[in-house]
Amino acid sequence: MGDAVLPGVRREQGLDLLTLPVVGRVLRSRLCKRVLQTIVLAIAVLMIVDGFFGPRLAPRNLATLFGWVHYRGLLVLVLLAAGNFFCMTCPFTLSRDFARKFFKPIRNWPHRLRNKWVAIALFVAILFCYELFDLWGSPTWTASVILAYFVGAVVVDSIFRNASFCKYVCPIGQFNFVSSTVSPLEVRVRDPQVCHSCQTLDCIRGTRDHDEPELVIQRGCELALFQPKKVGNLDCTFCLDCVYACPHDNVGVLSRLPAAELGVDERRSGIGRLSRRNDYSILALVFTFGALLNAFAMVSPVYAVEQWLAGMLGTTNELPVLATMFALALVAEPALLVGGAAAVSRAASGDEQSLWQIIRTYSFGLIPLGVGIWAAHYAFHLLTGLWTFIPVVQRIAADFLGRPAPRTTMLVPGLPEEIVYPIEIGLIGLGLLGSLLALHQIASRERPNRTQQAYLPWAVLSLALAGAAVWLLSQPMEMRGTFLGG
Amino acid sequence: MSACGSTSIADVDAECVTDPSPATVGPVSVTCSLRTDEGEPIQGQTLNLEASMTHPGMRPELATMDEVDAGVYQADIEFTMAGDWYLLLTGETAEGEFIEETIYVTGVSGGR
Repeated sequence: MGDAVLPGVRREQGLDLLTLPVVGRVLRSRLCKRVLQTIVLAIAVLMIVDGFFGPRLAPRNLATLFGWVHYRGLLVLVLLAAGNFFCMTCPFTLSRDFARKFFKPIRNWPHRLRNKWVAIALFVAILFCYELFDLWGSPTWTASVILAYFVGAVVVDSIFRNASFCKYVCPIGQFNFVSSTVSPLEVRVRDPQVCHSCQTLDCIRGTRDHDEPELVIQRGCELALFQPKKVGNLDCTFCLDCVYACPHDNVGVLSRLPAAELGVDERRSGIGRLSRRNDYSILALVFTFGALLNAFAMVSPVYAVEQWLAGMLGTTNELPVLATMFALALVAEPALLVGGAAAVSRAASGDEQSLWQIIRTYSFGLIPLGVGIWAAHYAFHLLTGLWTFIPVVQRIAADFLGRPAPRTTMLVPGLPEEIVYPIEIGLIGLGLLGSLLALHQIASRERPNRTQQAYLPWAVLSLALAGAAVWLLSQPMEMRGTFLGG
Repeated sequence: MSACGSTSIADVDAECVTDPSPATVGPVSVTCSLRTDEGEPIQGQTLNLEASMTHPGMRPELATMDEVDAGVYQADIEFTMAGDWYLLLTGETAEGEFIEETIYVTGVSGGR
């Protein structure tokens, strides 16, 4: 047997994407990244233009169709199958990089806002507006949201240094960061020994000009992730600035065990210990319970709940009804269920930590299930409507060429529901498995002598949430723009 | 049967009704009356009917409408899911003018 190593495979590290023949060259090239970003930017601009000026019917408009069916589905499946490549090709950061040629940011992001609270509020606001304004059915609103992202990224990052928008503001970014904890790829140091002897720390400081040390010719990580101390994918945009900056070529895109990072509580660069972070813990819970809420809003029982709430509140105004539903789903339900699991776990295992500390510690174990539910929901829309973009692209191409649009409609829009449903259940099952393993890892770390007692309540909670998700996705779908009427 | 509203895009007025009304998930008969602005029935057209949900990405239902009376066209389709739908009538007049009418059918009830 020879000692030859297959391309892309480092024995001690597993697969390294950057050493693969074609993919590796593409990823290593800054130009290729810019080209990819430019392509995504062009698609985003088309979506905005079509959203404002194209057909009013959502299924025939690129903004609504691609935004709510294809983009979301592809995003979550790529996160699940590979990593945070959508952040890598983000068109908002391309725009902010361009804006920074004219507006040099001179301020640092305020200390008091160096957390996830603003981003969590915006994440919930997006979910809320999605239901309140039926964003899925409104090309104008959808285009406005995309435009707001561009404006937000440019304004924030023209005022504040580094990637403040990505780290502290962007709701899509937070969704991607949390989801990427279950991704099989991670941007990571190849050989820690090389970092020990590194004097320049370019991966975080950036590569400086030899004659003019104040001049950064290749930026380092703008999200404050120092590669030798970086743990997992949280807050990593896969921008590969660290790869470009490292003078020792010691950073790769390496394979790993998905979700294993959720059981680790060592100090993370740019984050600290997860079990000490209130904001990250709440983000994990909002992400997981938000997945259930978002799926709940597309099935028939939601209307019965809304009618009941409307009766209780004595109103036909959608705003208070929806606000109450969100409060129940994102505050009361997690408080009851997660608080209950933590209380039982605490009592059974003799844990002396506070209830909140136990919640903060175990909440991250629910993320894989949350990813599974989001993936099941979005995969449904993507796979059942896979080819519906074709007539829309044909119409836009015809408009562009000044020809009459072909009057075609997709006879086969995508995969039949009978095929998609088992895929949805499989994704939830995969998420459940990930959560059960991550929670067990956390329990064995926290309570090595009473692991089963600490673990079981959390396992029961995971099973209950997964069961709820399966029940939700088995309900008759109902997509209405009117909550209380019609 | 009852009217479910109409939206006129060109110089054509379309009024459509469903049976059953209000519409429910399952087979539905759609009958549309097409008239000019002057109220004259528009006869002898080949009309295509596309029924789709207002949510993007859902499977549309397609049918060709038969003229069952002067300017009155009918087709059978199936609402496969509860929620908001639209009906898109398309066709071409003998003069080569394009007909496109959108009719919204909101709150289709029922289960899959």
